[in-house]
Amino acid sequence: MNRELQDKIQAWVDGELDASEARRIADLTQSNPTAQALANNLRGFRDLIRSHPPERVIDASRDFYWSRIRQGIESAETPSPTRPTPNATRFATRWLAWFVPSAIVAGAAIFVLRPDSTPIPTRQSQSPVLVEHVVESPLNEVSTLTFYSSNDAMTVVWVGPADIL
Amino acid sequence: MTTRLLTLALLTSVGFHALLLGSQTLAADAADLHLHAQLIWGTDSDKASDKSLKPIPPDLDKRLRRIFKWQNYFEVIQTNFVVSPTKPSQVDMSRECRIEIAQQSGGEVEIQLFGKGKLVVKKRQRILPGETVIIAGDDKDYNAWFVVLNTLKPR
Repeated sequence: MNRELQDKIQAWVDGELDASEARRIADLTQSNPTAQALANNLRGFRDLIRSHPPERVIDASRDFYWSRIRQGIESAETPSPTRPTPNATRFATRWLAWFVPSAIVAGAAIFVLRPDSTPIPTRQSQSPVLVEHVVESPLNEVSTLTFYSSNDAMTVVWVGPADIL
Repeated sequence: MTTRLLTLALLTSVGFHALLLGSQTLAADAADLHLHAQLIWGTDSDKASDKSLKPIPPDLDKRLRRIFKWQNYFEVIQTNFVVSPTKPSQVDMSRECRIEIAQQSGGEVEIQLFGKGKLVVKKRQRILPGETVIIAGDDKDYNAWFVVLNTLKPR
């Protein structure tokens, strides 16, 4: 089954197809066991996600959380009490004239000298939703869905249908 | 003059750190990978039919319950193993279930799951310390199986 057909089945499961296209995919899933299995898996996964919405936990009381936001807004709106003197501005400009080219050279050095140019992902940089991992299966009847939960630092590959026990 | 000296010192320092970063990345790529694997069975039954099954640790139980719908999770088997940079590791999780883990370039690992002798799924990704990778699927009678992989700190 090609990627386009998989996308069509997913759109059908999500109710995004027009009537004629939806009928065509419905007929296909009746006659094609692989398509039927994929549709069933997608429905199951959709129901799983719907029945378990992600929890958002804030490690502070409600009042404290909002007061921090208010303070942040107020401090951002308050004008700076001191303005830089002309001498300080001149010094900063001169320093920047050296610092900017140095930073560019340093950045180029890091880029060239790092043997592995692939970015090192951190927990924060990874997407909390479906992620692009390389998942393959040689079995036609097996479909996979990959999900990343950033709250739990957990990558889940749901495989179905597969008899492994 | 002072500014030029400062800039020279800054560039030298940045270059040194870049070299250090590069060598650390190489060293990290070449290290053994210590992993903990568990085969877990998820069910809505109150009690496991097999007495040999154990309840899973509470923290993992909590994490699984947050994502999956099953009420109870039992550990079929758990094991620690090491994957060297040059040789893949094979681990039998049950009579019919086996995983093979191999280190790849760029710090990635390739996880292969076999069921009844057949390759079922192959996954490639980087596993960060503290991250969990789960390969899971439906089992008969509305139950489910989970192969759970975690990184361990090397001894």
